[in-house]
Amino acid sequence: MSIESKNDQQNARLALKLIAMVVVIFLITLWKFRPV
Amino acid sequence: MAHDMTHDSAHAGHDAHYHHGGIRHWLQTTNHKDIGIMYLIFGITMLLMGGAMILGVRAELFMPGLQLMQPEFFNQLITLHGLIMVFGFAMPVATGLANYMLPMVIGAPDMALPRLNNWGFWILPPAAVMLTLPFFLGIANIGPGAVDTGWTMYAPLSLQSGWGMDFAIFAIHMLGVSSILGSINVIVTIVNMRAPGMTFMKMPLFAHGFLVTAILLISIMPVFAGGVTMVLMDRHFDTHFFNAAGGGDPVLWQHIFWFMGHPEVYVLLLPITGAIPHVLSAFSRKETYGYKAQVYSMWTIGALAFVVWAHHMFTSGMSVNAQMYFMYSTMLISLPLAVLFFCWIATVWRGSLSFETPMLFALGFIILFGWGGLTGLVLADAAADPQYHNAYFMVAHFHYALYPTTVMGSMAAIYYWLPKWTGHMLDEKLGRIHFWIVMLGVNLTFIPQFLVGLSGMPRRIPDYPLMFAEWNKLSTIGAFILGLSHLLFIYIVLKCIREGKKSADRSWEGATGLEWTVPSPAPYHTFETQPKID
Repeated sequence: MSIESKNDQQNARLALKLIAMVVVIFLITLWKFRPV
Repeated sequence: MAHDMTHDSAHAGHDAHYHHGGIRHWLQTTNHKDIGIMYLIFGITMLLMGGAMILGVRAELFMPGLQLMQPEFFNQLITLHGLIMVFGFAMPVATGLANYMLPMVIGAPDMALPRLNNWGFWILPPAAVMLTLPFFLGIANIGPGAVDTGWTMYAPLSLQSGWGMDFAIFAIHMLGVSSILGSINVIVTIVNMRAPGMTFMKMPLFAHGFLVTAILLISIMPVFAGGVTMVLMDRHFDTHFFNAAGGGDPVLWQHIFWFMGHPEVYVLLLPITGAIPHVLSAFSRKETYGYKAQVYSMWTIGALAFVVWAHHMFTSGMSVNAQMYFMYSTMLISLPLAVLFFCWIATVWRGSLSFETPMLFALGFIILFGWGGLTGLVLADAAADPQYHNAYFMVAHFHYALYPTTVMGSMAAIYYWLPKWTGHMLDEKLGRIHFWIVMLGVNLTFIPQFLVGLSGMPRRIPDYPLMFAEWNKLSTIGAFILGLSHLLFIYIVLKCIREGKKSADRSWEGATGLEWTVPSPAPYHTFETQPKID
């Protein structure tokens, strides 16, 4: 695997982790404040 | 961590795109400089639009009595002014600076995720259309007009407002997605693509400022998106998150909004606190003072930003203990900010100073932002706050905090790097005239607002008693001067591009940093082979 595509994968992995974090924060907000 | 980056497969396509020219080039470009330019042009355009709206407001407030518009229209103008300036101008301009300069200051070939970068930008124009469309339709007598709740969108107003509110909610979702994508790109670029040898504590302050900002943004924007989604559900799907009639809590909205809204202030500030030391150091011909102290201060401000939000809500009803906590935690932020001020002053102290346009704007930022910060301490006092809350004193405070930061700070940075972007020097004489017009305009606009605010003039009203008339006239004159200064700024930039004197690679004698080691204008791909840092 070339250095370039290795770097691309590394970047994509970190980006996906950050996107997952964003989605989790969004869902927690909705869940936490649901009317009971 | 991989440092031996040359340009990857996505970058390889750039050169091909570059030759297309025209709209297709700008739609498809994945080059960080192109995207940075688009962000900057978009941001400045929105500055003019948001500015034109507030000039309408100031014209109405020129004297007592309703003369130009109805209160409903006035409310739309102040609401859109706030939303446009924060989400349409300040954040995109900062993202533009990040896009253009970040790869250059950390020695990377481009941003880490070029296609995402393109997407992140192109969400913005439709979002701006979504936000403002009801306003223009309203002018044409179609529909109820734009969102008119004030930019804070407090319940129950936000639940009762017309469908301009729904447009605003979707616009905020889109703007949020855009800034989250931009922030993810900034984080990945800084974490993975720094030049070999550039450890975190060797990284330029500019990069630190943006890294903290990006982390703040990806933490707060999902919360805000959740909040406006809840408003949308209350409006159309019979939920009662914020509707007191159904058992909901309107104050909950205030908590959610300010959990985003307060860190947002630092989102606007921190990129500038990262850029200003570069300018000060260059024109003082000295290394920046207290690099480590500045880095730690920026990160401390970023951390504290999450735990002070309810100082915006002292009058909404909260226990004394909670008031004490939010008062002291807010005041705590002045400590790292004071460290930054101290470091900026110490950088200039006994330097070999020269006062070119970027330096003037940087110094102007420090002085005026200092006033904004100090008056913030007054407002943070829970016992005194009820006197100032929702009065013009508060409006003057946050404009002294935000105008020097987002406009003067951005202009210091833009003027500083403009020769690197264009290959031409700017017209110094015009730049200095621009600076002094801005200084006059800011103070003439906002000092009167401190005074009428202290006398009890509330914000967000289209009319007021006769006793406030003189100061309001001065404030309106100042606002129009400020508005005209932005046209001069655009002229200076265009003149620089067209007929400015050729710039050397190192445009300013005292400038240091990787970006000055490459030709002016910088090549399309700045660092195809990454520089090594000792």
